[in-house]
Amino acid sequence: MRRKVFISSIFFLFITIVVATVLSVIVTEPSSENAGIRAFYKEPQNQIDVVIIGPSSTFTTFLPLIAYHKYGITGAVYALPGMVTEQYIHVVKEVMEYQTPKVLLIAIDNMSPLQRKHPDLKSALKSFPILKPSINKIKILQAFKKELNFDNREILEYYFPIFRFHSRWKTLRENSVLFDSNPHKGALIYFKEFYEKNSNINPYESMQRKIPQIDEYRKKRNPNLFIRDLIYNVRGQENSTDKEIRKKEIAILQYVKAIEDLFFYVSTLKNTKVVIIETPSLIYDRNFERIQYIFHTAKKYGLTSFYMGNCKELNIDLNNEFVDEHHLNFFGAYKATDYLSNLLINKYGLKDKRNDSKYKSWDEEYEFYRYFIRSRYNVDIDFDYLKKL
Amino acid sequence: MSIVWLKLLIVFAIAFLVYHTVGAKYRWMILLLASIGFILIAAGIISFWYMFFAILVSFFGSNFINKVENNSVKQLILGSSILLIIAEFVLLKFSGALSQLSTNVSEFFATTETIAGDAIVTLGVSYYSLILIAYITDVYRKVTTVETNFLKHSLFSTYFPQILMGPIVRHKEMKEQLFSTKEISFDCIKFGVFRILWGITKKIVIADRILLPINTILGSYQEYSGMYILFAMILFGLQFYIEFSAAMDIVLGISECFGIKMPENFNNPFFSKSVHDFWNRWHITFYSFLKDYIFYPVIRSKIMMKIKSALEGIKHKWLAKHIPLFIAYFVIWSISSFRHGISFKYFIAMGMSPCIFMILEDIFKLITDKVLKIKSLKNALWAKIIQRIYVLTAMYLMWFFFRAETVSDCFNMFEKVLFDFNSANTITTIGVDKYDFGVIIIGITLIIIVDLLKEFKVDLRGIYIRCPLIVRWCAIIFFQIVILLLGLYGPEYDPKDFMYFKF
Repeated sequence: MRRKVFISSIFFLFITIVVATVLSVIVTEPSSENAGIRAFYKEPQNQIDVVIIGPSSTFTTFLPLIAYHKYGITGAVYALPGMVTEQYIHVVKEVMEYQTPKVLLIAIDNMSPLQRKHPDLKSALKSFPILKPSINKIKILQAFKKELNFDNREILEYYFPIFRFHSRWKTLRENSVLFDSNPHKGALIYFKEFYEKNSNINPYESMQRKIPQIDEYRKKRNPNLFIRDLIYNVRGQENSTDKEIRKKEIAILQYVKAIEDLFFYVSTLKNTKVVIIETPSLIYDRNFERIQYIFHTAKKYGLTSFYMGNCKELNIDLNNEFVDEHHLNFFGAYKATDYLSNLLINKYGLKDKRNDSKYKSWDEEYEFYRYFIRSRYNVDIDFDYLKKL
Repeated sequence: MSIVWLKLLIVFAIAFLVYHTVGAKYRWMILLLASIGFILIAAGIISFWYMFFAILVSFFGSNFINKVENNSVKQLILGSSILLIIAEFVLLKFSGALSQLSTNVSEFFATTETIAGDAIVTLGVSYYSLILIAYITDVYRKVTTVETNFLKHSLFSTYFPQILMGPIVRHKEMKEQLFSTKEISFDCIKFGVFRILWGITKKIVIADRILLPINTILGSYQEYSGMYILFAMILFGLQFYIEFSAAMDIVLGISECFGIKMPENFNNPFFSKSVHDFWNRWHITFYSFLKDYIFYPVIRSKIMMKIKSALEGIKHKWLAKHIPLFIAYFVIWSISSFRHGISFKYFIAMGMSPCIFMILEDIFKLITDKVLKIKSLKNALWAKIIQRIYVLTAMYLMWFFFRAETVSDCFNMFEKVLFDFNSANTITTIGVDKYDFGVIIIGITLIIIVDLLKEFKVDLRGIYIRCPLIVRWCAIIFFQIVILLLGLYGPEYDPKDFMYFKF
């Protein structure tokens, strides 16, 4: 009897977890947050030239269909909104299990120490159910949770988004990854604000006052002092207890270890070139020291870094081509994609696949994307920008 | 479903595994630990101490009653113990309301609810008080044997599944089961789990969903026509039953997983033939408590005997029989009304309304018995339908008062139902969309089918237990999917507690 009860209980728990997990996937709506990852998993092996990983800013920096249409590069964006430092290595391992891209871009925007609360857990929850069940997925979820503080309800929703999104059962037929399973190569077709130029909101104006200028002192400062300065800042906080200070110090050291582990791992990848990039944002000046530290560490491991934070060089209009401080809109993203694609072709010799019949689906998806955006958002992605550029 | 019920399920899950792992003679200790643990995490240490006081009073009271020979002393101990428990009950539940009324008696007619500020702190005071009063009385009457082990007595008093919403159990029916060392049949666990899932489905998928149009319409009833108010009230009666019976399904299901069969609290009340019959089918254990510990003692009291003799003396046999009955009805239903709350609303809804209907049924019993004996009417379907409609009308009159914010609101709603036929609102303005409405219809239909089968004495438990393994697991998976997908929970919804939880 005891054995029967024990086995039945375990089986009940197992069934409950499976049901909750499956339902979590079913209620996930196709969205900008998960379009890139869904597209990544759908691609046949060894057909992707470029994979970019990082937080949500990556899917507004690199547009795979534009890159293909203009340059014949096949790309995928494996972006997790709010991606934290300790997740990177597991995401890279997950990516390398399915593809062997020629170039792996690692966007370090959100690679900051001492994050405590994700600004929008709901966005992150839209992408986690899409990850394939694997040890990597468990580690990705664990790393996210470890770095941020969740209350009990958030923990439950985090592992089983069905608890957050169950009321979507009414719109499953119109709006579910189950019924709408074509991710259109990661195209952002649901992100309305992305296609608005000259919107009422001008994030740059509100940011200007907050951004300290990068002066010569900051430019010349030794990047290795970044971690030391962080620890000194933490120790100098008067309102913190000794226990809190110690906890923060450990978090900083874990941050350093996570970066070192990641760079060590990617430096061993044989057929993939790894490039560390900082995507365009309105707050790059504030993060200058952090970026310098990471680039400096990357150099130690023989990795190339590339700084896209200088929007002037990319010809991005700070007033009109950002959705918010971290995310470009379509018009800014078009320029960023253009810039990055040019760089990848010139530096890494990626081949033009536009005339290859194996990649016909990319042409079809581009035409769909163009038609969809024109009809829904009244933006012609082909003609407006081709003419200018 | 509020956090307290989630804690109950978590405590149950842990207790269940440990209970079925330890030796049979230690099982009751696991239940005791689980009960104490649940009280502490659900309500805190203060609630625990209040409950401990009542347990101490009942334990020593019952043991002294058992030891003492003198009947007068026994009665004194019985009376004192019951008074102490009632005093604690009144203090915890009504201290706020009483202090308010002491300054302004007219508040009795205005307040919609009693002050229940301490109700959460003193978890289950309404239930464990009645259980302990019943226990001491049964010891006095020698209906049950006294419990000399304080820990075992504590388990009986605080047994965690019953503490939130009953049922109000008797010591005689629980003592064998709680401390039994017999092997528990796996069938109990099979059906227990299924019943818990069924109860949760009824609560968070059906009952909470039915509440949406009820709250929308009755929350601003002035903007709706009489037809909509009537519709909302019909739904309210169903919702009340579904929710309360759902709680009982969860509680009885949990208990069955421990091999303990608690008494049913509902027996298809919507199939009642009379108001008397209704109260033998609705909140059965509470009405049974009222009958056994108040109604019969009142009927058999010296005062009633004197009234009866006096009336028999003037050769009014019918009055001699019925006047004591009517007085007893008045007493039990007044107590019932005050147990729910000190307000005129509850006095009418849970007090005078059932009392008056029972009196009327007794008065007209001679006529109705003669009518029902007529052959053509005895088994006529239409006669049965009229009977059911009469009972439902009586109950819905009660529920009108129960649901309305105040007595005057109730009369306003009555007026609208009878005279306002302007139906400007469509179904989309009653707080539910077509999907929710579909779920409500399917849910109510399913519950009616289950109740019909139970009414025709179909052994649903036996059927489920005898189902093949694959069918049972499919049923479990089905309910899990329904609960997770269709349940009303999460940040978009207020966690709606069981309505009867506050009583």
